[in-house]
Amino acid sequence: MPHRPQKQSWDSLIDENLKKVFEEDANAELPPHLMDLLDRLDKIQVTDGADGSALRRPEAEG
Amino acid sequence: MNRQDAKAELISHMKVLRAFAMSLTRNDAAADDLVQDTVLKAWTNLEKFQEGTNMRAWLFTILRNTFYSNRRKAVREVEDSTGSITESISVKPAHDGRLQLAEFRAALNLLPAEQREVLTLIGVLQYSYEEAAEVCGVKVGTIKSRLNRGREALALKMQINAHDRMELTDAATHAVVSASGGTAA
Repeated sequence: MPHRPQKQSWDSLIDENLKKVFEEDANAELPPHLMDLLDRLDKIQVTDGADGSALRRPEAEG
Repeated sequence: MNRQDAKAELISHMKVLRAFAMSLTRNDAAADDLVQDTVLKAWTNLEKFQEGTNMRAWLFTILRNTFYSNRRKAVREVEDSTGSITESISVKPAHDGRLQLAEFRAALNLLPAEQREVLTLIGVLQYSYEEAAEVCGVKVGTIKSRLNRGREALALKMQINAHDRMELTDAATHAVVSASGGTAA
């Protein structure tokens, strides 16, 4: 069937572009305020009452 | 886990974490805010991280849960009012690789976040369907469906762009031939 190889080549091209986009983003310098945050982590008081709502199992999405 | 070791590992994941945030938000400022919230939540809940397990996957889970939670809260806000919409309009047909990647980014921006997320986890980070399903909290079938729909939409957009480029090239060639009285070699 002619469709299969064509779809696979589009998928490969798409994955290649996805990787390029991701690499561009991952190679970007972190903004200063995020660097500052990392420097300040040790000074952040950790309490037992921290909201752990985002740490639970992933929520199902649409 | 020793906090200094955890901090060092956390820092080592920062750039990938931000790139994952970009794949969800497609907006620099929103991605930065999301990473900041994720780092703070991870740091203040570090005792919940199980040493020996995958910290990157844990951070991704916090980040995506925060993203979808924020999105639900801000359901009335217009998404990326200065980003994806204007970008999708302003991107011109490409003539080199860099512009073609910009076109691809614009097409990617138009997909639902759920599809971009799966495309990133599987197409870029090489997660298995099962791993992606666990991170996203959905069934494997849903992951496959989102992946296929995302790829189909991107393929369609890329085919249209390629076709547009061909037509532009043909039109330019025709214009040159016409201008030279049809004597172009």
